[in-house]
Amino acid sequence: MTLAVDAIAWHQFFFVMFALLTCGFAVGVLFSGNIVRMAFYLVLSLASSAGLFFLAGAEFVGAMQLMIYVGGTLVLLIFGVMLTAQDRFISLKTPAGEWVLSLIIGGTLLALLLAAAFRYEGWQQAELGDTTPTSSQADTTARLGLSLVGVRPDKLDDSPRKAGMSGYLFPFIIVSVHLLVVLVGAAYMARAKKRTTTTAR
Amino acid sequence: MPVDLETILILVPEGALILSATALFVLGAADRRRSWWPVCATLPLLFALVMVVRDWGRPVLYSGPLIQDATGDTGRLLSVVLGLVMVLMAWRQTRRKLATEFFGGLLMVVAGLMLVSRANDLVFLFLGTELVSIPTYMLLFLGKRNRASSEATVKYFFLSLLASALFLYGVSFVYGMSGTTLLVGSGDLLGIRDKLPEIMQSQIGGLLPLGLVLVLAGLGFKITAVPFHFYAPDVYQGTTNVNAAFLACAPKIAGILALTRIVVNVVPAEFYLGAKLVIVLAIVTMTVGNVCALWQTHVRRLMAYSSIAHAGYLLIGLALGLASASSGGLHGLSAMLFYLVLYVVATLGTFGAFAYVRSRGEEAEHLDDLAGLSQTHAPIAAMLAVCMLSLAGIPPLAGFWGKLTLFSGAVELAFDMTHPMRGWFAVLAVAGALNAAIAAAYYLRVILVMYFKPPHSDSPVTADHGLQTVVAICSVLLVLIGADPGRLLDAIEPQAVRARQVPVEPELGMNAPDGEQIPE
Repeated sequence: MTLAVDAIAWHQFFFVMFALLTCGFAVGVLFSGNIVRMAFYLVLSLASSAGLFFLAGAEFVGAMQLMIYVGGTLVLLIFGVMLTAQDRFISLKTPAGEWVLSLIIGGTLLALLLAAAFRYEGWQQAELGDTTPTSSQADTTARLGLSLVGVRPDKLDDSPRKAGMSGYLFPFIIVSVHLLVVLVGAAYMARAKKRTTTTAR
Repeated sequence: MPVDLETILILVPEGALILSATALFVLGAADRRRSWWPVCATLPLLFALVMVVRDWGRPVLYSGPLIQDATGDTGRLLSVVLGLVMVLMAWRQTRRKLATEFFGGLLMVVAGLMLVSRANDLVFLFLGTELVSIPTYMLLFLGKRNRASSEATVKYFFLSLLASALFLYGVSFVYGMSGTTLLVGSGDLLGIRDKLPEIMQSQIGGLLPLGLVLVLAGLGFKITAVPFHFYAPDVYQGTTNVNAAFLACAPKIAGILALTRIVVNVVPAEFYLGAKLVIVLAIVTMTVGNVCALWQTHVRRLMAYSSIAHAGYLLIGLALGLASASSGGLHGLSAMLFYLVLYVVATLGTFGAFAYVRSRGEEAEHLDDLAGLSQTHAPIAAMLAVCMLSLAGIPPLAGFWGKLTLFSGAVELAFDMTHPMRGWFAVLAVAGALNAAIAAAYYLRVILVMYFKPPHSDSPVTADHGLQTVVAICSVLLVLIGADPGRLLDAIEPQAVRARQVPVEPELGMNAPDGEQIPE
């Protein structure tokens, strides 16, 4: 005896739900004039796209999406906006010219992407296969961490020459150098701000 | 699993620069006087120069994400020389308190430029360009602190972030289609270039041009091509002359080198859509830059529009490279690199001279501050005139040969009866020639002000020997290259060709089994 619950394709259901939420709130950002609401819609849209990543089995990317984009946007936009916004910045009016321009650019990009996507045969036959990720695909975090220190667990069987080049240790080091520069710059800016306030006093 | 030892070995100069920059950041905090730090910045640069010269002309070596070839050698040498010249310019011009941060950031930028010139991987390409951008934000902030410069810095910061995002978006398309970030594979490791025929035949191959256009947009910001140019005048005006010199050169070198790498490796042979787009961009960029420069009275604003115009000339080389990729001719790309070198030399000299001139204790801001320079300081005026004439492309000087190689490439394609885009290149050549004529007007105006207007202040210069040396070196280089352009052009030309031709042989030899699979 099959339950009614089993008859529903939950994976597809959640995919459609998250996709609709992502797009809906994105449109909400576009049409809202109040900056606080825009920030809130943006957070919801980003959170729903994190749900899409989880569904695709990319749990690490999903978690990063939640932590960095949702968390960061939440703190930065909501608090930043609430603390600093003056009345004239709270509600934004987009001039008609900018609407036309952005519609042309965004519309062109959307049309190109849709055209390319629908040229792909898998998209033309609307067949819903089993897209649920297997559990072997799901432990992405450990594999990503290993790749960052130079080991690619998925490429261990390759020839040694190929395998030695596939890690991401060097990019990882360069990113850490970026971070150092950012920290020095940020420290300088913060210090300089303190100095200007003391001289103002 | 360790990365290949050879990969680490060819990165020694970059590693030395990054380590010394880190040491400058950390140790600088302990020393309050900060008077001998420029020396500490010069030493690793000299070391890198020695290493680069020693590695010059080594055989092409693909080592995973890095490539050792002649385009890379040219880029590395140019970056190190830029770093040395910038240290010389900033030696006395930087405030003592900020010296370590400034020189540390400068070393980081040079390391980033060297990484870009060596990158054989989209990840490295991006990280390298970011290693140029991120310290640049800091350097802009360190230069000067007032309302105008804060606004300029914030503007540059946000637009640069937007450009990086565009670049990444484009890269993600390319990666999504090819499944690898490697540009050229080696051994049994396939790169984007090896998978290109496969991608173009696949169903989603139509997205590759879109990805490339986005990449072009992201890099177009770095070289101040026109739709992304509007930050340049404000930012140049808001910052110091030394910083403006840096801003006019470093991002442009990064952008052009990255474009060269991508055009040589990732662009499909018959990418005429891209060539047409670049031609339109080139014409618009040249014209906007030159026409807007005509009525500027602020020296750095003038040079900002001038640098926009030169980005347009550089794009001619890119268009040539895109349109002639099928015929294998890399004339356009080597002409572009040649022009880049000449542009960097002339621009550094010009900004050095501007930083040298003082009016009322401040840096030179307006064209009038240069009035009568020929009477008060004849050598500087003469050398600045050489830089101006070279930028304008007046015959005996180096800039003329740069423009000649670019324009002759366009004319060659315009008269090539079989080429499908000959009409486009005819228009491009005419537009380029017209623009060179417009440009001469404002460069000559600077000379006019220096030589025919009476001086209005008694001693309008600083006693900074570093700046004098920079201006002297640059102008002498311009005259020397102008006298014998073939030597430099030869040093660049066969290298670019080598970059494309050599990898084909091992590829065909070693990838025979893979090669059979591709046509299916």
